[in-house]
Amino acid sequence: MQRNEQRRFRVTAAMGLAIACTTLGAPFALMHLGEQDWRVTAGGLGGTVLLCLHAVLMQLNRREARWTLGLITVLGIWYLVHLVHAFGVMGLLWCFPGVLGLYCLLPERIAWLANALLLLVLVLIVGHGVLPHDLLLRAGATLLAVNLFTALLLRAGIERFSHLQQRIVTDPLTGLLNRYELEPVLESRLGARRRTDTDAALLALDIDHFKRVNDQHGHAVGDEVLRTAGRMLGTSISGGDKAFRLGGEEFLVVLCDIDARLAVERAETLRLALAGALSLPGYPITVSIGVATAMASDSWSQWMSRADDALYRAKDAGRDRVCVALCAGPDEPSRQPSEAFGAIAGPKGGARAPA
Amino acid sequence: MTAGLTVHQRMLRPTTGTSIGETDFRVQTTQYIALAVLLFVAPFGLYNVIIGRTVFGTTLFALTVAMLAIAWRCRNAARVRLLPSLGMAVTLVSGTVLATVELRAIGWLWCYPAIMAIYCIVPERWANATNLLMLGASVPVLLQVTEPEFASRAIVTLLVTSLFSAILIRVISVQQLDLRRAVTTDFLTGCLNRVDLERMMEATALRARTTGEPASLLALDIDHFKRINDQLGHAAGDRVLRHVGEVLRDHRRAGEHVFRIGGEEFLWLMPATDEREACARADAIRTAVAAIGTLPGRTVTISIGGAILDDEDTGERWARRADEALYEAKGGGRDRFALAA
Repeated sequence: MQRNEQRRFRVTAAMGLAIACTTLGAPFALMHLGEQDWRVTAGGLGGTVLLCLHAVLMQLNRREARWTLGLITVLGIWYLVHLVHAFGVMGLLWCFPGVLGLYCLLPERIAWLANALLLLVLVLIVGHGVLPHDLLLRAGATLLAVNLFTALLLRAGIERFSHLQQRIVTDPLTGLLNRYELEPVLESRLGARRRTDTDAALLALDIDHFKRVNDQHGHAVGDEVLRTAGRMLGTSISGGDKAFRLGGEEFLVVLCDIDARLAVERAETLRLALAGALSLPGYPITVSIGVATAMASDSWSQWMSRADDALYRAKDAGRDRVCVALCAGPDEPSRQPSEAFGAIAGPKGGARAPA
Repeated sequence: MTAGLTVHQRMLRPTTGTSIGETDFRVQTTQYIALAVLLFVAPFGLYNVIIGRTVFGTTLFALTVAMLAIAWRCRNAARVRLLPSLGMAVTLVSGTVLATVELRAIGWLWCYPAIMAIYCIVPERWANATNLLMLGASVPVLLQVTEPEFASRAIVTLLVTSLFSAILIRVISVQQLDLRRAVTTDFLTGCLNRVDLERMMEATALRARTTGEPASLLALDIDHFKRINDQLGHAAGDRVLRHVGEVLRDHRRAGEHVFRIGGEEFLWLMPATDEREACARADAIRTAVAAIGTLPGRTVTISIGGAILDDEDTGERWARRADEALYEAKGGGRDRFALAA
């Protein structure tokens, strides 16, 4: 998530830089065509073209445009070093926008490294003999200062991005994920299921008779129950597993690399653990869980509604239990509305055995 | 859903307070700059005093103290204070221009870090203005004290550096704003969520009191929503919420805000709206929602409670009155509007 925001930053920044270079840098290079080595002008123009190409590639593709970025970085540093070597202090001036450009284009840490490399090469290797001693000292100091300020500015911005992004996808009460990331997470698990045959399972989890808890014990207690459930679910998962609070007292756990039998075992463990942790003194609280393993033919909403159906059957069968979704397929009889309505009419009476 | 939780109870629930995401990043970068100045500029000042350049050394010290003061003043604030920061920025600009006059190229090099420092401590628009000032002041100076060959490079690189920093800042600001908007928006319905609710209600109440205009608050609730969810599944429930959210947003006028405050409950903040208008609006909204037709063979209705801001209302009391009116509407058979006494 945080990476996405950083990438988004670099996509926009690359576009801005490309426009700036086309309107400002390239004309300047052309203007000085007569006065200086043609290779310098060609380098400036080529760099602009490469930058534009990179900006467009970043905009079009979801992937990182590694080749153009690598070329820009390596050639850019080489070009700057060459400018200082050939033109002394006049070449040095171009290093300042160069430093900024590297920070805008490269992922943060690589930008640090690239700029450290540039500074090192300029001050320690090229600078001697090309720049007078006092100038070299100032060049190092000012370049270091620009580096420091830009890096700090970027850090402050990125910290805000990740913080806000975190808030967008997090349920404030329980600290679990909210629905924001639900679709992409389920889609990615289904994608893995189709590509590599990796199993995945959904546990749809609902606290039984939660409204009663709220009504009889107050919302503060109800919230505490939800928080406890969130904490338990959060600690019970690991690796690529994800836990969501969908709203109210409904939760969803996505488990990776797990077959149906193991998923049911996990669900049973969770059910028992939650019932133990959530219950108030003298007031047992239970949960119902519906389990659905991913089918290659599922859409994310189909997968979810199968888990939902299983949860529904668990509720229907008397709550405090785990039910497994029927295998989805063309011949699967879908839940009849009449059955559903009947069950709602008498939730307590519907103690049918789970299918 | 967190059923039965009333509007004002929800409002009273603690929300996550002011966080790092809310504060201007310049507050943080100002502290960084102050630290950098303390570590690098202050020793340099001391060195100058020791070798006898007392005036220059003392100036650097004064600069350090001023920067530390600026950083200290805004340490817990959400925004930097404009005037001191701007004063510091102008000082930096004149400092680098003077340095260029005195030291030529060696002095000129300091204008690049100065630009970045200015963007770190001054709000964007003012930083851009200060940058232009730097450009305007340095061009004649450069042409005077350096050769044209150097001057032209210096000006172009200054331009490019300014532009790059402006782009960097712009992209960060826009993206932060975007994310901030996503934080305050309810993902499902596109209405606002509770994050800014309290603040906006207080602001509306305050404005109404100072201008003497009326202000109305509607509490809206989808009737029998739990039944829809249970009988037709969550996908259908979500569809209903999305469509209702759409209708509400379509009926929103400029300056009004619609919040989804949980489950199937919404709050509608209507500044400059009196009782008569609020009633008419509520009825129009009710009719529009009933006409959606999300679920075949079933009409989705909403109940609405309204409260006109009165003199005794706090934000919380106002919401409670709207909520009570909503309960009255529900008790009266749903699919109707009731106004708080």
